[in-house]
Amino acid sequence: MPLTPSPKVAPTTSPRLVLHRISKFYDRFLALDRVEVAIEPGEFVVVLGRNGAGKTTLLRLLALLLQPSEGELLFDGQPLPALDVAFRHRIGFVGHETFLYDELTLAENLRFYARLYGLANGAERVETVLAEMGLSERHAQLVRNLSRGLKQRLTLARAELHQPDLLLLDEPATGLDAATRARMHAWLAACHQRGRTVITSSHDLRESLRSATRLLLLDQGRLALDGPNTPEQRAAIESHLAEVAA
Amino acid sequence: MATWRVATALFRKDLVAERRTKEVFTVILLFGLTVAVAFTFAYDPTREEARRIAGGLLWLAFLFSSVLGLNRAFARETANRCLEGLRLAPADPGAIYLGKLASNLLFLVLAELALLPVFGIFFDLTLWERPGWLLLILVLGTWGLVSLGTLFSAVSANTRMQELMLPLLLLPLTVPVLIAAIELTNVLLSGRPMAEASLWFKMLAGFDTIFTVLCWLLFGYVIEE
Repeated sequence: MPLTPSPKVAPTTSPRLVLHRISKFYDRFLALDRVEVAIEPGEFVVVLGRNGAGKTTLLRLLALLLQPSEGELLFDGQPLPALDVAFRHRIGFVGHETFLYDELTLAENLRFYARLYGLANGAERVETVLAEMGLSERHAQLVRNLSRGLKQRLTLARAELHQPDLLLLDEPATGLDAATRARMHAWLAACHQRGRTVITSSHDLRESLRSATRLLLLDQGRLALDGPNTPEQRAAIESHLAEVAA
Repeated sequence: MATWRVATALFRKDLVAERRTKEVFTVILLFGLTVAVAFTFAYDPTREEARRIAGGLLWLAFLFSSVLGLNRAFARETANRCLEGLRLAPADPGAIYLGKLASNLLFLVLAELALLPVFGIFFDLTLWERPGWLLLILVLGTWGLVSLGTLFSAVSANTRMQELMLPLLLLPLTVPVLIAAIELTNVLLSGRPMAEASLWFKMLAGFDTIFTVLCWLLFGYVIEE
């Protein structure tokens, strides 16, 4: 199945993303506690942690779907709210839900998103991402009739449509069978090799090993560990997760 | 430019979805028909009485149908959290409001046009003597309902009492729009010159403009988490 992302710019053109002492409260519940991270261009970061550790909150903050309660997000040295619209062009987000309209076909959904992003070559991009995800033959099928795995492929196509620099994926493998998961990981690895910055969350360490260059571990909203994807780092994370589970 | 782009994209998307499902149109039409039939049997008015009360009955039917239709129209954006997909788009969130406003206005006016002959037959009314004025009153009155309704359907979509919240918020605030639309319809049905109702036209257009601008500005806050 052709899951190949389109060519992209060299990693050095992708700007640096900095989370400066970011905290997020939901009423009185502290979901993120003074998180301090700098994501370098072209990194493949996997955010790990148990359920409720703050992974989703972190990714939603990066996608500007949430505002931090404290702290600052900096993109290429600039505070994010100041370049909100420009930044949105540069991110592709895959959340727990698909953001797809069940009553539209695959192609109609993607054409709609192409118009939202003002893509001059919208029709061409729709065809390209459908082909990349192996969905060309199903382009006229209604989304409501797709399986979970096919919907997830279409969700990746939606996120990739405008060729963002930064891909944010919140537990994208949840609910997928082993074959679809493997294809998705291969696609993400190819995206990374072609220069994209990838930040994805997972609660499964084994799943994250193949392509990640850096591993972050969140524990109750705090950044517990941060380092390259090395055997030592993986061992430290495994031991931490085992401790917390016990 | 980005605002226009997003608004038209949303409008076109809603047209395609509605053409396929017809759910908003059907809900509005069925409820409006039920109200028309119920009013006819409840009052059984003479032709003269019908002329006097038809304006009020028409707009009450349109108001209650619009509540159901607006709830349904925004449900499309909450399924699969599509609203978040819209919030990711590189544009002012007010553009989402304008796109939804345009599609809601179109669906409601079309359903009202389909309901008018039914009211005409049941209440023995001649509604088409001045079609231009009739269309203008329908569009202005419905615009008022929809301008507020689109904002409040977004508010209610984020609450647990979704179906209940929209009428609670919408009904009290639409009173000035309703009064102006009813007065205009009464003048139209009575056969009096429309110049007599110029003040009501100005009021209705004024309310529409104020509500639209306010709701457009507030929409971004409403859809934020």
